[in-house]
Amino acid sequence: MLHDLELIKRKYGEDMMHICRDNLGKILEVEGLLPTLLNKYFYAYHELGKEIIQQDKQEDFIVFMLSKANIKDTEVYLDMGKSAQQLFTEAGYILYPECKTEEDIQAFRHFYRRDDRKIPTYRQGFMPLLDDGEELCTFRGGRLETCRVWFAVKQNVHEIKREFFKQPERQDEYGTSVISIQFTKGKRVRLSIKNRYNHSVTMPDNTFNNNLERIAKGLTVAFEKDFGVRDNIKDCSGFNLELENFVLASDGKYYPYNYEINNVYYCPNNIIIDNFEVKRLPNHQMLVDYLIVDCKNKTIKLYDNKINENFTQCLENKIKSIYAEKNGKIRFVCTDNSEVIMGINKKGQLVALEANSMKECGDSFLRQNKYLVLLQMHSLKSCGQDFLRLNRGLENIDLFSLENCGDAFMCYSKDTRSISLPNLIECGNDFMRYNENLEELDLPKLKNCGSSFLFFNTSLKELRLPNLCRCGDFFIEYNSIIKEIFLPYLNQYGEHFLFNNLGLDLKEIFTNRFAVHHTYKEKNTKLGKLKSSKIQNLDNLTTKIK
Amino acid sequence: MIVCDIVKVLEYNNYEIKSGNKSYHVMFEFYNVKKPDVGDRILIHEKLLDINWSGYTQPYAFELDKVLLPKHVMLNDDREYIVLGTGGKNFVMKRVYG
Repeated sequence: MLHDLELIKRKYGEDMMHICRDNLGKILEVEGLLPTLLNKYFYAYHELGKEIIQQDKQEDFIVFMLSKANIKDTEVYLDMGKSAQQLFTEAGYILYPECKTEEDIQAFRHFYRRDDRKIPTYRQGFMPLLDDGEELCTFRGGRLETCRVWFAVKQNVHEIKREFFKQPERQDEYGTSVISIQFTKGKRVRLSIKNRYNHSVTMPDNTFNNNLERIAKGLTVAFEKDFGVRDNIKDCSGFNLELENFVLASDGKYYPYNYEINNVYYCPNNIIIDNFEVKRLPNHQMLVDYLIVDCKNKTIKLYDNKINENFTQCLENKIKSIYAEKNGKIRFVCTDNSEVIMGINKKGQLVALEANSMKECGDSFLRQNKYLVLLQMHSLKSCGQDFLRLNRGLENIDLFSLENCGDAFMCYSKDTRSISLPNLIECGNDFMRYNENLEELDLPKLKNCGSSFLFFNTSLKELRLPNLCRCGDFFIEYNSIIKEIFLPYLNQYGEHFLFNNLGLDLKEIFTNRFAVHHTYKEKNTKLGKLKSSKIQNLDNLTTKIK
Repeated sequence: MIVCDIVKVLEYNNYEIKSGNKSYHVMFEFYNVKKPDVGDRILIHEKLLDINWSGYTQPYAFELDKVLLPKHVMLNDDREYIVLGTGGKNFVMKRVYG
């Protein structure tokens, strides 16, 4: 036992060793079993124990390991030795072949009631409009992109008339006379059996409780044997261990990952998991976030070219040499002798970037990056849209020279508490949207901003924009604690200006010319002071001003 | 109703959404709006996320009902609607079936 615990500690860390020692004594009784099981189901990751504790998944982990040590076969569904078609026939249905095209699906449309009582015709590329009757939304088109679709029709369907059923019930003869059986594609397969009444009954997508056995015993296994498809949602919720930021690869092991983009997982230690297949990069390459730094060929590229990413384009054909230093820094020396320095942590995440000679960048600059904490781009004058769009925690920012930025600038940087952009003149839509913890903002030269400026910023108490002239719709919508706003030159604003500032502590607005929108009056009832040299619609405000 | 962030958009209309420290895998179909992206928000009834609920059938399909939510808290306990926050706007989406 001691030897096993030592092995576990070396490979998976001390926390994991403690979890195993305290909870998996039964498995430890068998020499070598627990390390073998761990090795079989988990990539050798030293932080695994810590992650399990932080995510409060000890119990799930224990159940998972115990189940792997004592696997019991449970047979839930019967195999009747008949095909799905035979079983449906015996149940009084005709099971039609799987729908492979939109025409196949549309061929069943006439079974569903339409309020206009017409029978729609389908031509290639022309979809008749969905009526408000009982037509399934399957007939809107596109369902085959996400689901496998079958229809089963009662053999006596022409005798079952809609007008005979005045009070529809999901499981009555009409509702079950034509059913659409749909399995979702992908790893998590869900079965949905659609009712002929559609929304005229409750839970129409749950006909027969989405259990094929209720149509005929043996249908679940028959479908699996004939078509290779089976609802596995219960399997997924059973002993399948779910750990955040871990992926179960096709080799049966859980791997930690830093990013998942387009179903490709980018993991620590130079591992990429593509279509659940584990790929290890060669020694001359380094995986940083989702970028591949190639020291031999002096490039930095994307593994997946479908990702929108401008950072690699900024350095394309400009790298003279790459130095990987021991302190976690990678230094790029460019052909013009300027330098770009990346700071990497132990997990291979990009946490710092110095690119002080870069003057501009296009759309989607480090769009997907999540972990950057320090950014120095002192000379950057303009950036496109989605600049660090998904970054969560940028703390130290030097964008001294930035004059204009595109839409969705630092859209979700939830941990950024303060930012100064002393030269910013213009910004696009969704500027720092959802920056919930932003407390200080310095934009002394900002003149124009787009819509949804600082949308949902719930920590800003004061906002001074001494040069702002024009703003778009939804200006500072949902900022619940803002108390003071200084907008001396604002003369043009969009709809829902200061809308829903429900904290209702907004006491003072100073603006040169202020026209009150009717919704502003409803939502800002505690306004104490309004300083303005030109106010329109004063009547709306006089009762509110102290 | 709970507010969830979309943390992953996977293939075949699978989404991973998160509320607090709880994650959920859901399949959505959205009609008449642009497909949402990571970081967008959904206001949704908890029951729709309960895998053990008898009405749990996915994919959940929604079509656009209203573009703007006039009041922040408007929907009371309704499993037939969600609010999708994307592109700077809130879309009230009504559930459709079939």
